[in-house]
Amino acid sequence: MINNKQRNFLQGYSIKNKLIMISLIVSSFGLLIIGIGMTMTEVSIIKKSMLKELTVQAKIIGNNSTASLAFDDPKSAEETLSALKANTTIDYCILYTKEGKPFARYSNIDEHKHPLIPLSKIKPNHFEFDHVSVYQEIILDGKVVGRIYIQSNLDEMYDNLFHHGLFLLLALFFALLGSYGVSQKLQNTITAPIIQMADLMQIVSEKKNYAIRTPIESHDELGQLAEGFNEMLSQIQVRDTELEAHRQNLQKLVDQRTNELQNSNKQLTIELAARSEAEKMALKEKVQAQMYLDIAEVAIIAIGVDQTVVRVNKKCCTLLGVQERDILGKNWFEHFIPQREKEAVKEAFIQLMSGKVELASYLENTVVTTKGEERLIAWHNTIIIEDNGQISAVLSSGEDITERKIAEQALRESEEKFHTITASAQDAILMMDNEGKITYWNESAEKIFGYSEKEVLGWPLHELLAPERFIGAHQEAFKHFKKTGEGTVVGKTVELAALKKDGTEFPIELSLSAIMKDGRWNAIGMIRDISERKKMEKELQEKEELMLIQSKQAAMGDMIAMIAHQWRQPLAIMGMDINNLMMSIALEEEITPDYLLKLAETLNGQVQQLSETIDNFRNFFKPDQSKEQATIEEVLNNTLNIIGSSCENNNITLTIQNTSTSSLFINKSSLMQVLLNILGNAKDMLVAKKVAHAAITVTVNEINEVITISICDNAGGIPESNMTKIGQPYFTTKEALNGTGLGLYISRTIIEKHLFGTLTWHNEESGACFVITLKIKPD
Amino acid sequence: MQLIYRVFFLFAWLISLSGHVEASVYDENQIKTAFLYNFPKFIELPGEQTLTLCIVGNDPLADTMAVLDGQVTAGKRLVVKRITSGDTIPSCQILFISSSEKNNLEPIMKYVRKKQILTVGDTPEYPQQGVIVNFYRENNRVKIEINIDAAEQSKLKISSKLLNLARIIRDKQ
Repeated sequence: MINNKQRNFLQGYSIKNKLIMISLIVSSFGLLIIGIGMTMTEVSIIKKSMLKELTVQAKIIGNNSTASLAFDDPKSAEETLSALKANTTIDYCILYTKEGKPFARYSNIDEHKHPLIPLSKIKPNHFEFDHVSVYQEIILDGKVVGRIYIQSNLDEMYDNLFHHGLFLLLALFFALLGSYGVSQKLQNTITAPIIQMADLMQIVSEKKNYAIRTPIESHDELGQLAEGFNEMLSQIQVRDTELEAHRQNLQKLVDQRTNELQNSNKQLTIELAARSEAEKMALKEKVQAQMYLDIAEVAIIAIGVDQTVVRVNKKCCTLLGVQERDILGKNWFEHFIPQREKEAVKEAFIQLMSGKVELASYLENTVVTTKGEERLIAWHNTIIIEDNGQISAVLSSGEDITERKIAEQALRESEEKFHTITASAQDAILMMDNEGKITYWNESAEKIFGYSEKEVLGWPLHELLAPERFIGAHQEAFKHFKKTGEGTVVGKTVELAALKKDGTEFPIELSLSAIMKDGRWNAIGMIRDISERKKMEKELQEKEELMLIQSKQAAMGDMIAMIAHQWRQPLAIMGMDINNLMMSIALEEEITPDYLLKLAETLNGQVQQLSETIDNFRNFFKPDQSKEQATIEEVLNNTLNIIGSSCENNNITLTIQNTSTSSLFINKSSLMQVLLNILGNAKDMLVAKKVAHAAITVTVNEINEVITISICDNAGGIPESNMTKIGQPYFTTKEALNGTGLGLYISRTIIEKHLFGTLTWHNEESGACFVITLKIKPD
Repeated sequence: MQLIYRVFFLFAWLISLSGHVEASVYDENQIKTAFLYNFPKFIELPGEQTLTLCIVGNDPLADTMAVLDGQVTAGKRLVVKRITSGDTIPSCQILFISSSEKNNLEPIMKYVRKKQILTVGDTPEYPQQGVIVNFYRENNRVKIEINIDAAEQSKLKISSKLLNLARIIRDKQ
């Protein structure tokens, strides 16, 4: 063990350094021994001398103390002892009587620093590490009169030793230094030849030059070594040449062999590479397969011959709520199939296992998860066949169709509901897809159009159902609709013409809406056969017209009365004037031409009035309903012409405020009829109620191309309960006067339908106000 | 400490004290005798094999000293001779004059003058009257006083060791 260590320790150094180190070590070793030896000797000498000195001192002191002891005079003894002060190393000196009692004492030191050894522990000559002491008998005349104990400290000694040690170390250091230097010089004699040889060896081994020889310079062991070295080299040289020859020979053989080996090695490598590749591939595939299995969104499970699970993927585990390790090896049917389906599923399994794959390749059955939840799974099944042809397992991929089934059910129910609704609908419900083809045709559609569902589904809707003249327009609109789902008719209810199966055209009301189905615009239409309605409308219209005529006739009756009224005055005036003339003639008064002219003028005037009234009447009753440009002013004047004097006669003040100057394109007589009607009503009411200061105010305003005619009276207003009734046909408050009840109704009809305006009424403070609005430019 | 212990210790101490008192008187004579026995070790006295110690007078010390007879000190054997007062003094090297001779000192001193005799006493004023070594008490201790003039006159060399611890008395000149 130690040898190893030594070897390792020195091995690292070159021989030169080794030698130097050895000599250093040896020198230091020697010096150290000397040093230690010297120190020890020194110490011994010091000890001896110290003891001797102390002993002598003890003797002297003892001698000098005999008298003190003999005569029991401690004081004088102490005086004697005090002489010891001269010796600084002495700590204590105690005199004891022959009985062993302390007699006198000297101490030179703090007791704690160097304690006094008690009497019991005193040895005659005592050299401890911290003190030296002597203990002797004091003899007087051959007898012991007392004892003396001196204790001295070793401070001085240690001091000396310390200095000594320092000096020694210094000496050691210098000695080593010197040793080093000398050995440096001297080691050469040993190392130089060795190094030389080593260098030579280096060259020999590097250059393989065995012809070199080392010089022999000394006759000691190195010289022997050199000789041996040279001898060795010669031998090597000889052998070398021999070897070379053999080598050449061998080389050839070896090369041959090497080639062979290399070739076979290459082949092996290739094979190995191929095999490892194959293995890698297989592993990769396996890993991939597992990965595919695991990333598959479907549950994959393999069930072995023994009906236990041999393989599962992650999805299957999640579906069933198990960990892979918990399911592998368990009997599939016992654990995961509900009781009621177990036999059926097992049956399918057995069929599969016997190779009848087609029979059971698709199967929907329930599985039970570990939580007890039941899920409906659609399994696609196949079998795994081993290399030996045996069927080893059934492989199934399953999709959880629980939700889907529920959704399908819901859809079915919804469709049924839909069907029930649409079947019972009175209107035809059609659906048109993005290509214009009919995709839905309910029962009512069948009834209305005459086509059965079978006949129309898939047919183009417009071509089939629209009259020929409209098909083009529909197709145009459809083009736009196809892209945008928008159209003029979309989202609205419109009236169109349609064709029945038998070719008859009939009016329909169509409510059209657009829906987005599968990313495309489809249309849903609800169609109502409005032939009946149209007929009724026409009838109604005819009735209205009849009513209009009737009212006109009634109004005419009124008007005739009014005309009669109007005529009365002029006729009266004319009669009077004529009577005057006749009287003048009878009285043979002078009939001047002026008088005659004046008479003629007045008569003319009155005739004109009569004429105007007739004209107005005629105009009013004109059958043609032609429109012309006329201002309100014109119409009002005409109206006044007819009704003016009637109002006067009834003391009704008629005020007209007309600020409108625009002309409208209207049927003057229609408007006149309305005005006459309203004014007539007002007049009648004022008269009936015998209103004092009866007044009718007609205000005409024009704002934003709308003319407003307000006819207000102070007849007290329309009773609340009659507000809406008065607009209704055949409602009258003037039964006593043979009112037809049609006036206001007709007026409103005229205003709204012919003049495209509005007629409303309301109560003001003192009476009712009837307001007509007309657009100057009706749309 | 409890009272009983205190009393006990006091009692014991008193007893020891009394013993001490008695003992000290007893010891004193012994001490003086011992001292005297030691004197020859520090004082050069004539005689080669024997030292004659003459004891003059009678007192307890004298009796105690008589015990020294036959003892060897400083290599010489002590021979004790008792002398009653008034008798002639035989040849001796050490002459102990007891206190009883206090008034009879003159003739003794006349006799010993100029002779190599070590006179020893234990009575005050003895040294003044020529006694060389005298014992006295100080602080309950036995001490020595020496008349060095008298010693010189008697041609006796006293070791400095002894002189060191003695009270030196000189003759008044």
